[in-house]
Amino acid sequence: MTGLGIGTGYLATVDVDGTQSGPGENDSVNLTAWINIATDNVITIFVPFVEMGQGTHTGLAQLVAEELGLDLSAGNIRVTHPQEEFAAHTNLTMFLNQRPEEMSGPLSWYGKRFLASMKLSATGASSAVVGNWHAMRHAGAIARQMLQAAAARHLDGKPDDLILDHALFKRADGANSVSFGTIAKAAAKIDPPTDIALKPAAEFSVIGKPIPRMDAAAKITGRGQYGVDVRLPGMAFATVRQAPVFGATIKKVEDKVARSMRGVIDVIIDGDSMIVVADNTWRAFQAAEALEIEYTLPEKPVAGEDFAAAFKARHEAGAFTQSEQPGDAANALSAAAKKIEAEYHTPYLAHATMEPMNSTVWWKPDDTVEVWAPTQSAAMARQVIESVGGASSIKVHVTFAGGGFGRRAEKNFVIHAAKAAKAHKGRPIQLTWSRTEDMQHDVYRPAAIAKLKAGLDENGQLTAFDAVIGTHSVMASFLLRNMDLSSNLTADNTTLEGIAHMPYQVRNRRIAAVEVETSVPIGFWRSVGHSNNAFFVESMIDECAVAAGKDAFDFRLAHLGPQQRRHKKVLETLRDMADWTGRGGNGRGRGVALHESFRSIVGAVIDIDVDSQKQVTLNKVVAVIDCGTIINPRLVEAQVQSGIIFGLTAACFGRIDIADGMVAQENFDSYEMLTLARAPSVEVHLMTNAELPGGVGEPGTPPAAPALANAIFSATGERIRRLPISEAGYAL
Amino acid sequence: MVTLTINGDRQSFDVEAKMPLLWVLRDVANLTGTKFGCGAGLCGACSVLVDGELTRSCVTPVENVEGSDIRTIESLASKQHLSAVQQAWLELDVPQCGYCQPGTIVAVTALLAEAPNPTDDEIDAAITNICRCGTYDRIRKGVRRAAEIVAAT
Ligand code: FES
Ligand code: FES
Repeated sequence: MTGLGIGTGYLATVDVDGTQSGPGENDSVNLTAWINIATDNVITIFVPFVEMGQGTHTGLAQLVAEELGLDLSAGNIRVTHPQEEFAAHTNLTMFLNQRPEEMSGPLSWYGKRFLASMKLSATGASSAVVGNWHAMRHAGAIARQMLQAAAARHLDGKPDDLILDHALFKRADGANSVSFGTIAKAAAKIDPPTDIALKPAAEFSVIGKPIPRMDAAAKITGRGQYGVDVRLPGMAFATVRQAPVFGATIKKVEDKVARSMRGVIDVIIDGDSMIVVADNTWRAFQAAEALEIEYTLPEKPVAGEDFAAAFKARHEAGAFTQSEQPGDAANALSAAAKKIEAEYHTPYLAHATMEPMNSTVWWKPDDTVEVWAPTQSAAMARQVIESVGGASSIKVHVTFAGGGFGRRAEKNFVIHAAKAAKAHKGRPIQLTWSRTEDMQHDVYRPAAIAKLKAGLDENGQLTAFDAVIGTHSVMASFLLRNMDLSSNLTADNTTLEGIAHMPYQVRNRRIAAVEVETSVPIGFWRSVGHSNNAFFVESMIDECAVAAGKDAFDFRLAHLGPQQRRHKKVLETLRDMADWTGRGGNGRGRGVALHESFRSIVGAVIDIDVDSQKQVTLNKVVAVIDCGTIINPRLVEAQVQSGIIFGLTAACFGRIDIADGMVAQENFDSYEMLTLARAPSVEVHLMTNAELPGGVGEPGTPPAAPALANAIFSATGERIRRLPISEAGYAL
Repeated sequence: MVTLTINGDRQSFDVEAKMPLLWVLRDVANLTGTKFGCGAGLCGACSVLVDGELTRSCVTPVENVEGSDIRTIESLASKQHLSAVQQAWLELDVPQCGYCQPGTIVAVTALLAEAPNPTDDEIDAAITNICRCGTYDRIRKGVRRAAEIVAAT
């Protein structure tokens, strides 16, 4: 199916809202695409996003429950990822970077239907709630009305006289009641209503409430099924060893020893990878280590210095790939009363999800294929099977994921299992990467360099801001690797996100990008471009505040205009909540950062101690988030805490070094993580307002690193211009 | 042949003496609640109790635990009741992705058996599990809440 070949007539028939009803499995009924009702009154809410910790199986279920009148804590409610790949209308926000509410006109009509007709389900960009805020409530309301009409017939009453009481309709006179399960089939035959009035916010009883996580009970008892926990009859266990040097190919393999090891079923050479199939994962690991492999190395293996050198050359040649330049930054800089110049560096980073990469594929003798994967995109998993070829049907089961952070939007943890399974038809194969493999064959957060200049007038107001960001394009790497698409279709919006359109009002700006090609695989890493750019902007703003002799809060507030009323409120609230009294000194430090990403604004203050040996203690973080309408305050709090710890972990320790074409880090000893003893407490305050909801999975991450760097400056007077802070000798 | 007592069940496994307990639990006994995180004793996802002692099963050859009482996450709750630690975890919604939590819950269980009312320093020293989702704030609160629940029963 090619995009251009799709006619308007066909598109008009595409279900863009998922409102169609029909039969479900085992005599159950689907009322809309999202709600399944079984005869025993078990109600399943389909959330077409992977549950990887962010709480989407709870938050989105709340949207349905609000309109359908469900008590999510009752025993008969289930939330699962659907086995159907939902059409991409659930992903409008991710693909088009727009709220469905904002879309109108013929282009949107076409875009929406076009996306809906190509199944590209995916989880990312903190967009599940933003993109389905309306759709899932709408589905709940449609189902309720259909059930209500059927219940009225069943109970011989008027729909309006019925009382909804968690999955039952009762007659107001108390005479009788009927469960959803009993009337679901009749309800499915009723035409879905077209004019739906959604509940006004004042009547919300589920949205905005701290509803307990729907997935918690399974996760604390060991019952929760992650990708690595899939167990199937006769299953074999496999692993993969990929060429350690990027771009290397296998020249020769000696696999005699490995093949003779106990439990080893097969050794498969696949391009630059060796797949070992055995009867348990440990034996597969052992045999993979016993392989003796000779590689043909690329002519010039990528080295850590390559990026900086390439950036320098391209920058000097003025080879900008993107830029925005309102006003005249160059002139304003030369006219400035004070000029601040700085160069910042950030490293490559790995995702290090707690659950290593894995997937399970069962290629049956009749060529029907089933995949179980902790994936951020069922569509990607399906495409992997399609690319292997020969499948007569493909079913993808999306399991819980032990962390995602962008790593699981990729194809490369499904391909080897698929190939092994095809070679061993009839036998399910679960393929798990060792931690070393996971660390060394990640898709990395790109390193970046920022050359920054700012100009202040005599009142300490910014008159010019000039930034050149050197990095690798995430999109280019992702599209080429996963979709075989060459990159220069469009500019990569992630490269300058968070620095283009920064909230601070500076009349003369130049924000330019130099995107450098690389053979290092680059991927989406929690908050993507924001993870680099927030560090650059918020550190530089801090430098400017110091140069202007202003307080860090005052300086920021003085550069927010009437359009940034929400940013202002976040900062003012943060200043109160954190009892901000100004700068530290003598080893006591406090730093602030503010950043908007994924339609939410987060401000954070971190409080630290630094001793004379540069030993850092992270005492406490106070954070304020404005994510518009709050679906679940407990989930928002958890995500902000999580995002901040994620950002601090990277700022303290995170660096992936590439030498002689390979990643040096292997496991959590060389790629360190914050642990309980060293993690600060994170206090989160939620702004309440009636704005449309924003994302919460990622926005906590960007402000963490600059807040820490600014705190170190306030404690020691040393400006951190290179992450992680260990580069400057700071240790935790 | 190795004979192990797992969650009160004595079973024999035809595996190498050097095979780490983690993989016998997961891939042979199909007790998948105990997780693989690093395989090198660094993260704690694979934590189990061996004769009541907190043990990282990924670096524990099965020959070392023959004859011992091995307890995994699957044995902490009885049919009717969650353990105190699990109750606290549920009350506070500690898990995010949840992958590290079985190991963490086992570690907290071991801690509270030793120190029913642990200090912050004791908690810091005992709970060294890596949580990539950064649930540490709630883990600390969870330990305190679990201690309260134990004390009240
Ligand atoms: S898997 Fe055993 S400590 Fe990480
Ligand atoms: S909850 Fe995800 S690693 Fe701890």
